[in-house]
Amino acid sequence: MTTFVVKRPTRFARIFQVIRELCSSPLGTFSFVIVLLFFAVGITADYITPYDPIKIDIRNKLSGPSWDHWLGTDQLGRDVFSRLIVGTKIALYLAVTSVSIALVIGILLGMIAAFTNQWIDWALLLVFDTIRSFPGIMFALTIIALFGPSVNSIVVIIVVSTFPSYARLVRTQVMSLRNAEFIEAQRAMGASTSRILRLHILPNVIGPVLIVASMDVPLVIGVEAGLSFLGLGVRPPTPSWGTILNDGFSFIRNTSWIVFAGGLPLILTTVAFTSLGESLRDILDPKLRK
Amino acid sequence: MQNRKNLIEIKDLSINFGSVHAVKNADMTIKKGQIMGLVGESGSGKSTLANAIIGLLPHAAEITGGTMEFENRNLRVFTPNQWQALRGREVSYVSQDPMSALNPTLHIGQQMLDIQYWSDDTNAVKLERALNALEQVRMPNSKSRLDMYPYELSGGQKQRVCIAMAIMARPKLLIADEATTALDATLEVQIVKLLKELQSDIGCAMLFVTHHLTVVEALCDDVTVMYQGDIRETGSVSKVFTSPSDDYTRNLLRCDPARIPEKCGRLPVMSKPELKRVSDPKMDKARIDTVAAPVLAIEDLRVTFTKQRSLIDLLQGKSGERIEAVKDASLSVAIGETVALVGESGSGKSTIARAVFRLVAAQAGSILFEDADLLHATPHEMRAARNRMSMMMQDPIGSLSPRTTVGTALAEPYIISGQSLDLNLREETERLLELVGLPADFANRYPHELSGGQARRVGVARALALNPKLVIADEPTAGLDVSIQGEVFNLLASLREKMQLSILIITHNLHIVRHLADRMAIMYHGKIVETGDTETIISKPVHDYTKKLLAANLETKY
Repeated sequence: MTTFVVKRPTRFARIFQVIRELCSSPLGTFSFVIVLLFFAVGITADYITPYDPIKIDIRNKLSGPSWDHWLGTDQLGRDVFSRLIVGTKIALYLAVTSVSIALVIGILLGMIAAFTNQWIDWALLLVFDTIRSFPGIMFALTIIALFGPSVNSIVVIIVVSTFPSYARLVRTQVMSLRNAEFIEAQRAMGASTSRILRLHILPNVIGPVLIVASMDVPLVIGVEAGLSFLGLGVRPPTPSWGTILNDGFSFIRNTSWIVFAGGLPLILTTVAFTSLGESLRDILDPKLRK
Repeated sequence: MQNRKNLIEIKDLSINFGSVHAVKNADMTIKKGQIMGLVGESGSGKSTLANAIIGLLPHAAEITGGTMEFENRNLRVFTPNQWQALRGREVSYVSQDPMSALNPTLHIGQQMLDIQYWSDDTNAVKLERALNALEQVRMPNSKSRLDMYPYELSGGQKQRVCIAMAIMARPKLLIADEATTALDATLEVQIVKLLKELQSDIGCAMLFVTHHLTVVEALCDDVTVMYQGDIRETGSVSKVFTSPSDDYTRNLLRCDPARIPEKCGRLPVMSKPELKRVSDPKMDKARIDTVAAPVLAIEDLRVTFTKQRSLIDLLQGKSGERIEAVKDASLSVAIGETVALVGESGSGKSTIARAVFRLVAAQAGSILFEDADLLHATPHEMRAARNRMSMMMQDPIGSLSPRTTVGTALAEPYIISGQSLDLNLREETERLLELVGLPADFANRYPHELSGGQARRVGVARALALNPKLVIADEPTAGLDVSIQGEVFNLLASLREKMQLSILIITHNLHIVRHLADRMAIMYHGKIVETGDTETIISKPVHDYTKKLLAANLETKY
């Protein structure tokens, strides 16, 4: 048997190449580092906190930044830095679960809408548009009233309110591919619909969808922070970025420090994920290449 | 002609794309009123040279040396403003694809107004000028066309609009880059005639870039031959075509199927002109099994498309508009026989092929493949039939899935048919690649890394994977250079001898049909109007449309 001479870059090498291109611009480097940090801190949160995030130390309450407490303490004397780290874990959990569940549902329904008959397409579009036109805050309040405030309620809220956008995006992409000649060639060979969707449609539509998803991550974190700020999200004493902001807001007359500390990671991750999505789109879409 | 003034004078011009020399030390002169043909295969640098003349080189391109003058003005020192003043007014351009050259959201009149930005006239005067130009390009009902959108026009009409827009300013030079390539043979001949008439009306010079030698012969006064960035030969058409001085030109002419009068079993190709072999009628007869039942028999096939109804139409119970794509077509292919289905685009010839594979539903008639009735076959029977017949799609690169390698694409027929478990897929892939003359390491390439000819070979290999009895090939040579056309032709010809393959070839290239097909069927507006031996039809056509079609395939003079 002859050996294949042309070496294809392996998947690993390809990822490496994308990262290198990403880091060729300052904004790309910044967003990549922040996102990496977000994941690293989120995963290792329980092991790297300098203090117990829910341990109360009333004597030390509302102290400013110091060598002992880098970002100071809150009204109950809890270490804000440790609380932010544990909050990252919750933000990461939310971002990963809700975005990936929404993605899977969106991709499946989008492909079904595009590839089956007209009636199912119309019915699904009606569902997507109904959900999209429903006021988000009302829906969120309903879910919380029904299931109570918890991290999983937030996941449900985010999944239901974001999957229609993915589904619509996938549907349009699939429809533009549906009559492409290579799909026709597959059908002439007798390939089944599921095989065509899996092997020939999905790889061609997944790129743009993943990029939109990466831009949706800050939205998810923002929803959590917003709901927790209103007291409808993560329950105390569990720290999340939203509850930290809420605490800081209550004592903003005593010290403004906590609001800044709680807001900064939110702003950083939002900017980082959005610009990461944009940079990835520019790198992966050959049409936008200069 | 000798004493006319030079319009364009290019001397020693070199253009690089990074480290690639796209144009090397090119010299070219175009005189006032002269029609110059620029011929070469894809990648020869002919479009780059044409783009340099109107200052529309891509950013990656760099002019590294030489001079370029337009009426003694040095084009190399032109500022963007000077270029803008030149383009559209003194030099205008007709592009290859009329479908994408017009803005789909504006009507023709608006687009023809907009392009007269150089004029200070009132809109009424501009519209008058647009109308005159449309009349000049022999557009039927030209007045009503101004209010139409591009999608309401046919391909040939769109190209007429593009030409009308190009001549409105009475340019001194008209550059046409493959302006007839995307058109059918019948339309091509009309556009060529039109360009020739316009040239004598307006008196502009013309640079006609093409890879189609017969068009050059019909249209141009002089011709320049390019190969890999070099200008190989330039001179009057009659001189270059009858006594070419350059080996490449000689080869190019020798390999053009249109220029080989006798029916060939193998066509000469650029790298191996000695391959040419005149076909042997005895061998052709021996190949075809006329006694056994035909491998494919289509009887009275009728395919009707219903336009999609809107929800409102549905609720009102309106039925959709119906388009009859194929009307009572009958056609048969005997074992080992090659049949050509010929007709202009939109005549329904591809629909027949798609109906055979049940990619579209047929309303009436029957399709018998071997013993199976394909229109009423169960999924199981259909699968069995699909393993014994295969289809080659029109677009060689577009018919390969962009994110799978050639190796995977070639393994697919085995996997889909459920035979993958009994076979060593890698060995099979290598066998197929060898069969079509590609090296084994091509298995690792992606479609976009293939040239048109290579992708076509992969398409042939995939079609032959399961040793089919019948191959339906949709425009197997469309968009390929002359030399690659010859290679694909020879590949099909040798495979049908080896494997007793029946081929149904769908095309509008009559020269390929003449060499390859045993019988041909002419299709017009969904009907098969004439069937018979290829030679008989070409020498004694009966139906009016056949006569028109044969006449439209430009005759070679030299």
